[in-house]
Amino acid sequence: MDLKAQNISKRFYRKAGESNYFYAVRETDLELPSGALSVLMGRSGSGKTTLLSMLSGLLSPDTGTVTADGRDLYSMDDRKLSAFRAARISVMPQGRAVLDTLSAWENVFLNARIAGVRDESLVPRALELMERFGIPDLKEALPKELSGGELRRVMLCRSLLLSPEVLMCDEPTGDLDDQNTALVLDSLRDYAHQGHTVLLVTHEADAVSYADRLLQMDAGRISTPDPV
Amino acid sequence: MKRLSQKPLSVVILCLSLLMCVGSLTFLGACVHEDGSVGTCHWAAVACSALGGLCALYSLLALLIINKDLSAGLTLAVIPTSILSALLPGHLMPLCLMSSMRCQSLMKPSMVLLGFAIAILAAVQAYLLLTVRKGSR
Amino acid sequence: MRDLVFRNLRGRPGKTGALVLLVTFLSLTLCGGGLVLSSLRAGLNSLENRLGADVIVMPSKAALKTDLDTLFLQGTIGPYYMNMSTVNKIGRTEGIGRMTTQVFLSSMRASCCSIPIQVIGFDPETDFTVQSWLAQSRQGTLKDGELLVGTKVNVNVGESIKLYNVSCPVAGRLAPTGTGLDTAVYCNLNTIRSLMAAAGALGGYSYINGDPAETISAVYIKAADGVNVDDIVNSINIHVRKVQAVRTRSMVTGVADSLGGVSRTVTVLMVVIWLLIWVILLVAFALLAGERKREFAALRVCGMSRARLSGLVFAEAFCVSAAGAVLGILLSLVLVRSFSSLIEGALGLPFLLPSSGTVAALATVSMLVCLLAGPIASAVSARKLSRVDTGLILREG
Repeated sequence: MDLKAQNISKRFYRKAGESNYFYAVRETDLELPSGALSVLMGRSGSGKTTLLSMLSGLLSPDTGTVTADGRDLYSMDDRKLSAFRAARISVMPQGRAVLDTLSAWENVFLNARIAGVRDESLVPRALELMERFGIPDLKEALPKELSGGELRRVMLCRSLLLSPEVLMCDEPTGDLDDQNTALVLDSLRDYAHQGHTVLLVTHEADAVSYADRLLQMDAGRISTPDPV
Repeated sequence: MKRLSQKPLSVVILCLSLLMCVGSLTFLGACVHEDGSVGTCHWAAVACSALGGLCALYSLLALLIINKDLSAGLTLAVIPTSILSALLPGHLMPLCLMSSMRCQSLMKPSMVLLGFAIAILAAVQAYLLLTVRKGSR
Repeated sequence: MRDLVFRNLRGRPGKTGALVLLVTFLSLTLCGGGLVLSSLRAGLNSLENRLGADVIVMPSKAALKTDLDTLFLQGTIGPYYMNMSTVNKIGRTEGIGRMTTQVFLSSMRASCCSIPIQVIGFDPETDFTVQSWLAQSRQGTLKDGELLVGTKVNVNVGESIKLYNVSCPVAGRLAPTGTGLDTAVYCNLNTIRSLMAAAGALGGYSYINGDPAETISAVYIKAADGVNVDDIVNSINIHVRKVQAVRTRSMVTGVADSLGGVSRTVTVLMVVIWLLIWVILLVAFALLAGERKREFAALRVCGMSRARLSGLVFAEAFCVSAAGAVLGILLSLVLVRSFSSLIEGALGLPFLLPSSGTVAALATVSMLVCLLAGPIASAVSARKLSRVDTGLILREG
């Protein structure tokens, strides 16, 4: 599934009610093809997370449109958009987006549970994912018992569980050591090459070598939108 | 502080036991007759006070002792003691014959409520102590 | 999704407990206050039913020493008596439909008596105030020497009470009235006269003058149909010496007046406390929602719609409210039942727990109100939460 953004902008007010605003993302066009790992790099505050949120349907842009599979995401009502995202777009955000009351295993199944998917075949897939990312022993652990890196990998397993057509990861290697970073980047590239659309937002320099497409973001604009 | 957060109910049990111990002889207790004499209800109040003191002692020790099993044992010991104190006035020891007297209208229901509240809380606390996950990973 | 609600509640035992406690207080205030109010109303009704008579005639000395408004809370008037000739004079008053006499005696706190109590002797042949009530709890007539006890006298049927060294078997226990009548024992005129003789023999009742058979405490009168009760009262007060006739209605009115005052106070207190707790609940939900912003963002990221997220928050609030409401209702039933004697004594008003139907209705209303109050308190924060763009929360890091 191709994802396409046309002329999207988002501005934020520094203080509510004042005209003192800035553009986090400014009049940006972007196309994410399937079958390729797109890597979006940029300094902190360059608007990477805002762009990812708008592309994934979590933040409505002030101008422009985001279309996935030819459908304008933000013309759908919340119920349809949520169902669409649950089924087809997976997001792994930067912060700790887990439920503290559920075990790691249950958190891995959170997407599936919300999407209403009750498929027995997901169990071996979840086991395989946790095995691959080196956290098979942490099934029963609660999020508060996990380190940042372990939590990140739990979230990655969750994002991959339903094999979404579009996968967007925000700094997935933030808390990981070199070995695990390589493992994750490898997996993301493999996943993209299986025909999925993958966007990786990072400031990790290692990621450049895995990228099929490298995007550079600076002050709300994508400066090098061409493939490397 | 950690001890408190692990045994939140023990603190409540201790407070209620002290209330039973002190209250049964003062503001929750039986009346003294005009001529200064006392009835069986007075002795029921004294017995309740003693049992309340015993519950308070058990729960204080349960609070201070770090060993979980020992602490749970002490908490379990609170249960029969507090039930006994609930059953004392009116059931095991006679009180005044008139329901409008203080021993019947105030002391007996107070002891029943306090006694059973302490017993239930102690049961819950003991359960928590005995089934809590053995440490985190 | 349902188990997610329970997992969330169980995963935060402290916070869930605090919220449940708040709702418990809500329902305790509502159900407990309602129980007190309806018990007072039931007490007043029972007082009206129990009175039966339109006029009570008692010795003037007794009328002077007794607060007539609270006569039926105290039980009986003091040891003041009139003789049969006075009763006969009263009987000649025009307009009397039915008339009966009663004799009151107090036992003493001494070794001769097992309990200091008021003994009420009634005349089974003419009585129209006590026996209709007795019939509710006991069939058949009361034999000489037997006693019936009010519901607040803790002596079992079959046991005996010793009064002035006379052992009287308890033949039955009366239905509760919520008034001072519950703390008395009842017997027929023969029994009470033998008790008075026994008292006189012990020297404990020195103020009884003359023949006990000639000694009457009070006369109860029911007006004949169509007769103005005031006319009877005035006629007795003018024509019969050393007695005072009192309309029972004025006693009921006195009780009803103070009941009105107490009811207003209780109602105002209830409303104020209830609103206060509800505002605290509102703030608590808002604070907790703020704390859980990231958790809700996680759910949104995983594809949960705003509507379902609001539903989740509502479902949690609903469960918390249901648990709190049930706890509060049970607690209020236990508390009001246990301490009804104490409340009665403190308020100085007749206090009778209402019928189980009324209690069930009260519990249902409290339950419904709490089931609405909790989710409504959470609605504000649920709405606010689901409005926030998830992207904004993620951006905050």
